[in-house]
Amino acid sequence: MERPASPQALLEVWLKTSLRYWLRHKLQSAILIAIVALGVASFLSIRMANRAAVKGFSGFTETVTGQVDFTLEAQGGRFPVSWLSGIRKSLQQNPVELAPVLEVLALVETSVSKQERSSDLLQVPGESLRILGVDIIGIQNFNNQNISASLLFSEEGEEEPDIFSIARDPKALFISPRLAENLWLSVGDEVEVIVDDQRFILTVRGILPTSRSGVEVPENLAIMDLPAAMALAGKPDVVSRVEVIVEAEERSEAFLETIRSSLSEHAAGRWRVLQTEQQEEKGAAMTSAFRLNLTILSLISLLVGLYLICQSIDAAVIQRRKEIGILRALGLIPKEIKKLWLLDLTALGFLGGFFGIFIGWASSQIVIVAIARTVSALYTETTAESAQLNSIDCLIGMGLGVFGSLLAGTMPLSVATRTSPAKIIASGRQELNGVRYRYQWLGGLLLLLGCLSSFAKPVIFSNGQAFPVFGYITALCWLLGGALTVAGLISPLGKVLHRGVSKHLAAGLGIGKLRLPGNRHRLAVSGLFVAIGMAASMSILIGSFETTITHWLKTRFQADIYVASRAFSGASSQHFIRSTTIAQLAEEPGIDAVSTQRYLPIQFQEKQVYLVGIRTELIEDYEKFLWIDPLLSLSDMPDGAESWAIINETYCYRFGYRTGDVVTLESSKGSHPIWIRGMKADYGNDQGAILVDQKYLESWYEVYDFSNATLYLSAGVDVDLIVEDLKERFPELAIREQGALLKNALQVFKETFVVTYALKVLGLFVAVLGLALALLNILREDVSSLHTLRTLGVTRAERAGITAFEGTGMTLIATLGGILLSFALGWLLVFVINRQSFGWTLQYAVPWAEILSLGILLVALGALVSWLVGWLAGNEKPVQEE
Amino acid sequence: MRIRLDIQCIMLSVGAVSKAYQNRRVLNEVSFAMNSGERVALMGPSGSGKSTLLNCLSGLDTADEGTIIFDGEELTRLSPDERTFIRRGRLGSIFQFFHLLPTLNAVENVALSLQLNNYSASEQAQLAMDMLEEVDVAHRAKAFPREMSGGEMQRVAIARALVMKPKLLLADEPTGSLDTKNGERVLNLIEALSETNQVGLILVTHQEETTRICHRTLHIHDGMLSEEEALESRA
Repeated sequence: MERPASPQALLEVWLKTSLRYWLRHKLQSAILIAIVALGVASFLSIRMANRAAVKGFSGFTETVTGQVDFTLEAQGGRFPVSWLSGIRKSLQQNPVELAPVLEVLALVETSVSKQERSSDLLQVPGESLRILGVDIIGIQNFNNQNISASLLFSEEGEEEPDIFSIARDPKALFISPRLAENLWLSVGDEVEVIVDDQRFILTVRGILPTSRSGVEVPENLAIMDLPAAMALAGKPDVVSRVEVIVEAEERSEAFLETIRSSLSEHAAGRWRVLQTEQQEEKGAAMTSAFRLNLTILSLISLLVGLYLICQSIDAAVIQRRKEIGILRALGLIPKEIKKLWLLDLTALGFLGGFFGIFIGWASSQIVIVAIARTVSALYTETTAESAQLNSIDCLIGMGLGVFGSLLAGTMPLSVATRTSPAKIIASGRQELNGVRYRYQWLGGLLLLLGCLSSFAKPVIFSNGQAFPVFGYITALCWLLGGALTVAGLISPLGKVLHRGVSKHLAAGLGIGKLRLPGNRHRLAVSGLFVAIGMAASMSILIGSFETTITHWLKTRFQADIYVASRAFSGASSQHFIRSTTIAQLAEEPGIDAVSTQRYLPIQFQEKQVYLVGIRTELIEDYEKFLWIDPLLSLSDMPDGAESWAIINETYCYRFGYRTGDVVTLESSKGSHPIWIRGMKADYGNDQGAILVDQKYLESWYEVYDFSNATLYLSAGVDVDLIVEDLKERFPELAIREQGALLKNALQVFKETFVVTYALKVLGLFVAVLGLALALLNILREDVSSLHTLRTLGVTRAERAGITAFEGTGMTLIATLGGILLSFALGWLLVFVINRQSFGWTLQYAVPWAEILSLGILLVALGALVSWLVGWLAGNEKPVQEE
Repeated sequence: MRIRLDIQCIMLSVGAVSKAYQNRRVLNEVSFAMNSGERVALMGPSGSGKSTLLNCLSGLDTADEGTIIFDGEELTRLSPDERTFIRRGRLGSIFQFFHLLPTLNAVENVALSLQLNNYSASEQAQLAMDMLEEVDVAHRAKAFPREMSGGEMQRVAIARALVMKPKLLLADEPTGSLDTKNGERVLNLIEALSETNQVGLILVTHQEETTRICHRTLHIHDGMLSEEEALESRA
């Protein structure tokens, strides 16, 4: 009685057939592994870069005092030191330590190594530094084993320096080992830094330990004594937050709760008590929608990878179809053949995953720069510069590689094992062309479902950010439905096209093949359709953004000169201009008016928004806004409102308040009802902004510095001369004239889309590669037709022409369908996904020239690639030749 | 039935043709000649070099040594494109597995050769239909290969091979994939058309009974024509 082959027997067959095949075809094996590796790498690189960018601001707080139980934060980020004694009293004799921390952001200008002091200064442009001001002596004296006594000095046996002498040095700075290594710094060297608009020279007095509590000390972290950091920041009486540490022996749930209640009760609205997890999650939550978008992008790149793997494995199966037929003729059942191939696919996925992890890690180092810039510009300042690989990434990479290969290999393998062995051996091919296509109805259904889904409301996260989940479902439905529909249209469109070209030999034969398309035609056309649909819709989105933002920027930036700290990077920037500097600027000859802005992140209804201090008296005469709702008359201001404000569109979308409503802001000074007098367009942040007069920031939050300033010059003054003069007098400030700033703003805008551009290029590249692979597979599958054509007297060039027309016809159908799809997807991105994610009103703009050139480029590329495939594969010999 | 070679009527002359693949000699100094309209069977076991010889004769492959003169032209001296142009008009081929283009229907498959030779669309349609009528499958003109039986496909392949009125028809196991009845019909058709149109035939076959339509038979073993037949050809 027959019984199935044992696993050992199958393994032996595999070693003798598959393994030998791959070892003999080294180039093909390497290409296949590389394709899997690319699929895995594209997913991992975005994942790693994404995580690193967020960790850049959420992770470093863990390293200040080792273990923190609670963090106290004041509204507006300014925690007066005077509150500390009250807190201490409220905690009575409980074993709890308080560690006030002041964060100061600095830009390293130059470092002066001891050895290099005689030579030129070492230029280190753009290194940003997070200086944490902590009470060094206080922390060293903490009676708490959780806080390492060697906060600043790690080397065992190292002689402990005199802490008191260091603490007295207002220039003493402790830097990370990596920064010391990168900037060639050692103890005693000097570093020149810019803080806000001031320049300081600090001295490296120590190198921090490599890691604390198992967490690596970030490269950009530095520590100073608290009073020195306060002097540096020009804030003698405030800190950023207070860390609360409970002694290890007392850390029970009940005791922690007692402390938390006591701190909350004593706060009386002045500060918030955050638990460690909340503090860590704060940054992550703020960017959750952005990161989810990135995750979706990385999943798209993974799908693209799977598509390529599927095409490649299909090619491998075709090449080894005769071997499959022989094994089946020898008595292996389809299930056993599948097992052999599963081994192949697993090995392939494993190797691809292995290499993909390394390629992903390498490419994430590039991607992170773009992501970190976007995070800094839109959310909060992050200084991440490199992405780290962890064991979970490795597991995911391996899993994706293996799972992806198995998934992608399912279709070609199942087709190969279903065919009768006699047929495979005899002809080496299968009758795949003209298989009836049955999925148009599903395509239509998905398109309809997508339309319905586009009307659904977004999902709201706990932090108030909206995520347009149904918008993405719509996109997915339209992509899949469109792909299924366009696959069904190949045959009718092929017939129409064939009528026009049937008299031409190559065109008639090539296009004629589309009248009876096979599944490979359908897969390749669908792949191209999706790629061009997504690429063109991205172009529509970016074009709409560009049109709208250019209009907004041109309305907004009408001042002559713009001033900010050289390290300023957006609304979230912690680099400010001090009031004394603004006063000096106002005194400069030729300056008619100085307008200022101060972005202050505050909590509103448990969510972060920006309170923006402006000079309201300059609105209309100097400050121009792009109004959604123009300003109401001041006479309409309701009684009881303390002041009036302008909101941006995002704020309206997030919180539902509109012009004419009254909202209440909280500060340590109490509640402040404000009347919304108007609403403006704002594409600078997606958190929401409330603009009030600067005087309220000063009285409510004691904020006296500025994020940036705009200078309006008197009539007839030479802008260039003033700019040159100001640059000389204020070297710590970035001073730009209007045109340069506009250019810079558009540049930043374009860089924000760098990941999108990269994915667009990757998607199109993969789609064209997919077309080439599909055509190659079609030719190899039907090599006897090639042989017939040769026998009938068709030259090699004519045979290449036939394939070129076949590929061009496929690309043309996919491109026309894809462009139609992109109009719908573009509408979805502009009016549903963007609106629900950011609350921004964009003008729908189709960049016709770009889309047209994209279409022409793709069709030309399709024709060229197809011709090349036809030329290279056109000489293959039929399998049955002796 | 035997016919004597007439030097004035020689259509194909093969002289000491040799061919090797990876140091293995597949054809070893093969020589023979045939008259216009003559039908020759080529028999031999698998791997004896039949298909290689056929490929060399059709110009799909080139001989390492020796000469092949077809219709007054020495194929061995022609470029690949020149050999291709000879195949377009003067040579017809039939295969065991028919090799109809799966994406063309019957009439389009037949018209393809005409199209390659720049016939007008109306001529293509007319001549292709005439040829299909001759092989008795005109009623299947619009059918695609996957919709036809083996016998029908082979008759369409014969129509395609003969539509250009070639001087020589190369048939590689034309009945190998057909049942006895259809095989018989196809053989009779080939014989009749060859006779009517004065088309020479080289018929590669394993089956002795198939050779009945040929004037003589050549046997090939290990790349060599058997001495008896070779001598006769030279005579």
